[in-house]
Amino acid sequence: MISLLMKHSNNFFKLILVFIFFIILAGCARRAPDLPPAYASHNDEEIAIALGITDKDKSMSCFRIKVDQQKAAKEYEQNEAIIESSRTHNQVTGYIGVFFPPALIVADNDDEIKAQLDTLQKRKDQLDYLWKSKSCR
Amino acid sequence: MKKLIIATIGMLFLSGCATWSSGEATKDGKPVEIAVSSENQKNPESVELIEGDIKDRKYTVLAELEVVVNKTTIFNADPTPEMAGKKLQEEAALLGADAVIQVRYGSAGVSVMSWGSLEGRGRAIKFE
Repeated sequence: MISLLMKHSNNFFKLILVFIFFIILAGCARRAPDLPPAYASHNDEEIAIALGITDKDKSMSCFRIKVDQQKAAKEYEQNEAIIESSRTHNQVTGYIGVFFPPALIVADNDDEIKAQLDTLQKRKDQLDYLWKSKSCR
Repeated sequence: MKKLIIATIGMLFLSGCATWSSGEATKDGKPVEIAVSSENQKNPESVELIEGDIKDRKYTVLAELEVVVNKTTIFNADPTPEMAGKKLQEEAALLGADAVIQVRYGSAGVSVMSWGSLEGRGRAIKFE
């Protein structure tokens, strides 16, 4: 009886491992980036430290900040578009994978692009803070 | 049994339950209870969604919001940032917030809970 139970629990454990493996292959969801500190409840120094703002950043002109904001926003959109197109591919792979699991091997997780999106969001937060702290218009 | 499975799948397609969602409100890492009376709760549509922060107007932070929108079956369409935004507005409205600032979204993909999950985050605030 115990050996039968062990045998089945082993199979169940294997099934979970296979399921997790497929989830990893099928393109994981990217978490929403962390929130920066609230401007209203922190002083400028605390925010600058938390956002990793350098002296070079602080010396940027409003024009330069605007240009960098536009550049970051464009790059962000481009990376999102790449993930979205992979997602369509992954969805189809997922449909096939339900009936034929080895198909999930061709799914693309876009780890590099997702990491870039997080970096770009951090840069957007820095530029947003600089724009507002310099009262740019 | 076979008919039951087919009927269940059919019902899922026809029920319109394309997505389901969950939300969490925290402040300083602790869950925020909804202490606002129903009269003071806002209409979700009146809650502003703002990508960045506000520096020209004073506000009080009510909570940090984290929502997840999941698609019901593998065959439903992926949740969109608009859906996550709407859920953020709903959660903020329950707290009586005027706006959600620093709104940001993750990317839709497979999670432990669903074949298509999308996370949204933001900070619920009330203007002074």
